[in-house]
Amino acid sequence: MKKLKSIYHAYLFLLFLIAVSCRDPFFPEETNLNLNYLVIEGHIDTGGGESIIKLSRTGSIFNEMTGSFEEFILETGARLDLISEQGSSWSLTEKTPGNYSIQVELPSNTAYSLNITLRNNQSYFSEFIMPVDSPPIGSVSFERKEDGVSIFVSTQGTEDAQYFLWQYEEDWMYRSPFNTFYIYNPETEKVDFRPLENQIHVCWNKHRIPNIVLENAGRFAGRRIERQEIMFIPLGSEKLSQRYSILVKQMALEPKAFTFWETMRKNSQEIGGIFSPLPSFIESNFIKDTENDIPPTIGYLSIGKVSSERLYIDIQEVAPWRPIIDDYRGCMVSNDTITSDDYEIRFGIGGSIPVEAVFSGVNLIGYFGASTRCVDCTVRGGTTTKPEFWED
Amino acid sequence: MDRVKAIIILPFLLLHIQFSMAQTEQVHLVSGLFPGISFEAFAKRIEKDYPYQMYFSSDDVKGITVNLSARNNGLDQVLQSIFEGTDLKYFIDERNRVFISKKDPLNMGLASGFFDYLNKDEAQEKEVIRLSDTERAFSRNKLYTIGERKATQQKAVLKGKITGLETGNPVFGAVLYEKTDYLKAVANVDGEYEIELPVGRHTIFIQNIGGFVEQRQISLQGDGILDIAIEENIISLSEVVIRSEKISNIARPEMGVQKLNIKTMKSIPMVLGEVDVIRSILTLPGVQTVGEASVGFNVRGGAADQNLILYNHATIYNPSHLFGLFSAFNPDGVESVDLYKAGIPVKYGGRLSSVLNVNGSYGNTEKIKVHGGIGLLTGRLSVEGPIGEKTTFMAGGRSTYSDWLLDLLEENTDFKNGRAAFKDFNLNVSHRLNNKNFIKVNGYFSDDSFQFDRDTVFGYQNKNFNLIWTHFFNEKLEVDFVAGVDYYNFSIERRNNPNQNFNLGFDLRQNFLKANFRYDLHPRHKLDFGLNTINYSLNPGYISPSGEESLILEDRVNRENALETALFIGDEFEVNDHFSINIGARYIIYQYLGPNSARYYLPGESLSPGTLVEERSFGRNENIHTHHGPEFRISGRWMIGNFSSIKAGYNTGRQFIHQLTNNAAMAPTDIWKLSDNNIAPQWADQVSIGYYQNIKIDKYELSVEFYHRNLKNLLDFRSGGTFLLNPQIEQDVLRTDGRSYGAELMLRKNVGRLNGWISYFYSRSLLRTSSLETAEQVNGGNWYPNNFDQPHNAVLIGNYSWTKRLSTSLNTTYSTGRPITLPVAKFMYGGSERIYFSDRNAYRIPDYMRVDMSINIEGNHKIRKLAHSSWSLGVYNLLGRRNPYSVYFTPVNGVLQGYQLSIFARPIPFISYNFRI
Repeated sequence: MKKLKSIYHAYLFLLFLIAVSCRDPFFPEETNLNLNYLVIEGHIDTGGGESIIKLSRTGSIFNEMTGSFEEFILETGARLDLISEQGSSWSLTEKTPGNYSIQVELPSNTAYSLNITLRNNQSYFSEFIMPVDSPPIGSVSFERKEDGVSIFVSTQGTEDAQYFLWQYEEDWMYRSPFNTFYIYNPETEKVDFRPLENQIHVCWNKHRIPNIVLENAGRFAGRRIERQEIMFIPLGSEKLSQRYSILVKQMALEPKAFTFWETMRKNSQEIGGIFSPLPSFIESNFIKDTENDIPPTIGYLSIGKVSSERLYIDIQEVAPWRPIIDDYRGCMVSNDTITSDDYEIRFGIGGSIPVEAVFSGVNLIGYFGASTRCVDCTVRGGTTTKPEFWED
Repeated sequence: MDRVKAIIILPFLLLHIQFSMAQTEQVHLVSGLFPGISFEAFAKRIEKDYPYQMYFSSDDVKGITVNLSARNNGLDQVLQSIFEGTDLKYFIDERNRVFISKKDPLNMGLASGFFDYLNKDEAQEKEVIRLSDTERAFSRNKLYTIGERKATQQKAVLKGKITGLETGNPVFGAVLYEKTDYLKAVANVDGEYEIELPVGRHTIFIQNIGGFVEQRQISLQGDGILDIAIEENIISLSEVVIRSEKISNIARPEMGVQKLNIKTMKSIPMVLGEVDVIRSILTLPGVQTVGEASVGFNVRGGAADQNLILYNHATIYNPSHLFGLFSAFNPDGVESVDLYKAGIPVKYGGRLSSVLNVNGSYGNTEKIKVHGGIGLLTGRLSVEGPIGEKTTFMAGGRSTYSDWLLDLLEENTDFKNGRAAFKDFNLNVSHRLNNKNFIKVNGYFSDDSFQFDRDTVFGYQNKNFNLIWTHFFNEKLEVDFVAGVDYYNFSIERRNNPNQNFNLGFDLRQNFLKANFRYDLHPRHKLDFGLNTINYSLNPGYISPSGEESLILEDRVNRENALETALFIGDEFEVNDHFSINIGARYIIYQYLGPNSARYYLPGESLSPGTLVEERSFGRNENIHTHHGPEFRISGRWMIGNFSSIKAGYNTGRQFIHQLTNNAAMAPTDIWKLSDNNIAPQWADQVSIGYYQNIKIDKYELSVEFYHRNLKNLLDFRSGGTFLLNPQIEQDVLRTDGRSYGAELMLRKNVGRLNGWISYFYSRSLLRTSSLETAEQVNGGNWYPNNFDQPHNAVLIGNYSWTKRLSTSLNTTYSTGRPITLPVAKFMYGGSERIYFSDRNAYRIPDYMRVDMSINIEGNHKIRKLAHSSWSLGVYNLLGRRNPYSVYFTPVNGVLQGYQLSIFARPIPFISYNFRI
């Protein structure tokens, strides 16, 4: 028995010695091809909301990009037309490079095809697609959990609309640690009162990199999808430091479009584990023009009424919530009074912002300052302009 | 102590002598015409032409006339024929001295002594036996003259005892036979045999189960005793056979068969120190795996589901624990393993690629023994022995006692909350009703459960039970009747959101009956025939809500039922000493049965909702669809001399149950599907040819085999296809053709301090979407490599015994990296970078190379000791090479990152302790 025990201890010891598996970066050079395939993304909202069709090109796999749409080669100057089976036609306009917009209310009882003619005169046609209208979103709700906040969507599927795709847009209001009513004017080398439109204490930031959230209502009793988690905000996130808003867009898909999204999700999010599926080929509903030797396209166009719902969450609703933001670490209003002689050095080029006026009796003798990062909320990427939709 | 020394030295001594002996034999064959000359004249001629010295008394040979024509005969044969009918005996020693004497052959100390007379007392007998041990080198070709000649006697009884050369223990079950009339005898528990033979000259063969075949030359004059010492437990490649089939690699008629016994398996270093059946067979040529944590294995480019894995007749559907780190078999309950890569015996069927027959032990007949062991993760305990005189049993269990492993398995991933555990039990009982009837009972149970995160628990179980009745009608006809049940299920319990909690699962049950007859029709014809039938009942998937709040809809894919019946007959026909042939055929009738509904599609169109014509319902046991057809098993062997042979074979197979996976490895959540009216049975044929050579009298075995396989109606998955809970699976699969071919080269050294094998094999496995398939053509309808297509493979297994108690083993494995589908472009979609993949399996992960080492230390062999113990320690992946298991790309914060994941990326020391009481 004693022997057994000592063996067990030996194992415990080994346990510390071993760390068995590992994950290393991997960059096979031979896959660094430049296929330059056309990528078409979009959902056409027949309910009158704005729809964006994005045209871009595939990039080679190992270029140093940070993951924004603009870094890919965008297909600008293309002509896009939506054509109904009855022969009506609507044109899309290029709002920003590669982003083609249309805002129109369309009848749902006819099929549509998107025709694309690129600047180089290559043409692409989608199949004729019957719109699938999404039923209204049942509710968007949230729950404060130990380790963060989950946001859920609930909806009621119908016979026609069973496969759902959710996308979302996040916006949030946040504040810098210190408010200021003063602004340094480098021309006059004086500190003025800050005009209200120049306030830098309250900002709004946004996030538009969603995960793909998909669900099949057919799995559930009465096609009711209850509390499908679409977002999780970890504890300490700045998103909930003041007020947070999420716009959930719900699209109903035809089965093949659902498969396309599901495959893409699996291909990018579930690959590489021990029991992960092998990558699948992704299909497109753009007709392959093999006669003219036009390379394949990537993308699956879907059409139908989009329903959306916006949810606001205030910090009070999730309290206690203490944002942990590295940029604000060590923020303090310095105690030494900066007199007018030092304005240019400290506020002009010194990276400080006047925060508090210092008086001797009734005489202004200078200002206490704080680092720009602690005062100016735009440093963290937001904007001081309140979004149009924002409700306080 | 002296004895121990002798045992260590002996094999070397023997081999050395055997070798030199063989040389003398071959060089000094006697030829020439001796037309009625006197013996003295004959002796002179022999001494002149050959390096023999003849010693005899002229009186003794007076009157003997030599009248014969010799043509490459051994001198012993010549002398034998000259002295026939006289009372002269001869003896040839190792220095080619020939002693001729009257009545008793001259006993030269080192000489003679294998035979003994009935009237000799016991002390003398023992003396003789001991001599026989030291002298084995000669026994193969030496002539033993047995018994006193009596003029009237036509037949004589030969008795004796067969003992192990090293242990001196009786060899129970050793078969002694001769090849003219195929008379045979089997040694009883005490190693004693008795056989009646015609008087005269015989070559008798002695085969130990799983050992070499040895031979003795005897001249049977009258009743007598011949005690024989034979090698025990020497593993010769491809020895599978229990009967007096012949035997060594070169001689047996089948090809592509390999056998490992538990002793060999113990000498292969294993990850975590556990002796492991499946990991052991992975060291054999032609056997591959896609990775270290994969459940299945691939034989000659076949898929993992094309292996029939039998454990004492029970089909084990999931042969692994912990994602393949352990195989499902408790090593204490396993005697040996046979792997048939080609030449699958006609009594087996239903899988295309191989049969892995795991022979479980039924316990010894002498006394109750307890075995056990403790490894890094698992503990095991088993009890075996007799119950009364007629019954023996073997009961074993194994369980994990810790699950720290998961922390190591996928470090840096999200498996921090991982848990894993398994257990298994087996019980094998053998009971002798009488000399003609034996009953065996086998039970097996295994249970695995694991979770990668807090919310989801996976689990799977094997349950198997069967009953075997063996009946001997007479000496020529025997039968095994087997009835049993095999069961496998897996389940997933999801508990993350009260509204969406569910239980999901799959299960499969097969009831089977087998009647396997064996009939020795004629000395040169052995027939196998019988009937196998399997009744499948498969639950393809169910999901049910868990908890009152759950909104998950209960869903259950219709249960599938089928009946597979096979009739078979095979003949092992020894045409002559050189040529033998095995011919067999099976005819299989497979019926897909109701209750179920069957879907019918437009002929010639891809199976999709759009081409569905009708769906028809069938009642209970109503036949929905029948598949039937023959299978052939043909193999032949041509002996070239005594030490080499050529074999060729052709066989076909059909498979009616398919595992559907879209993983590279076989996952525990892969379902099985029965053939139905839309999914045809898989079909394959294989042509193989091989050359076998034994060098230095079986010291080395060399084999080269080539094969080519064609496969049809394989199932690959369609893009975006799902299998679980899919009631129309036929709409998500692609009919695929396969082709595999390769060459296997193996050199094996079976005996000596240094033993082991080195093998190289080349193996390709390719797939092509069937041209009939209109839904999708993978890679444009061209051939593409299978997930486990790893062309170049090399294995070196070496064991060195320093002393009887201390041995070291080295295992080196190399293989080409497996094919992989890699991203070749990225694009922006849905707000994130996405991946565009290359053609399927267009690239390969880096090559795989691993070296393992282990040291086995046996405790001392004092008899009075309470427990015999042994330690096994070593290092897995000694070089610490980071062999990638997979390569993948995933967006991190919307930016694509490439990773290679390695399992066991560092040297892993292991230790395990085994004991036996």
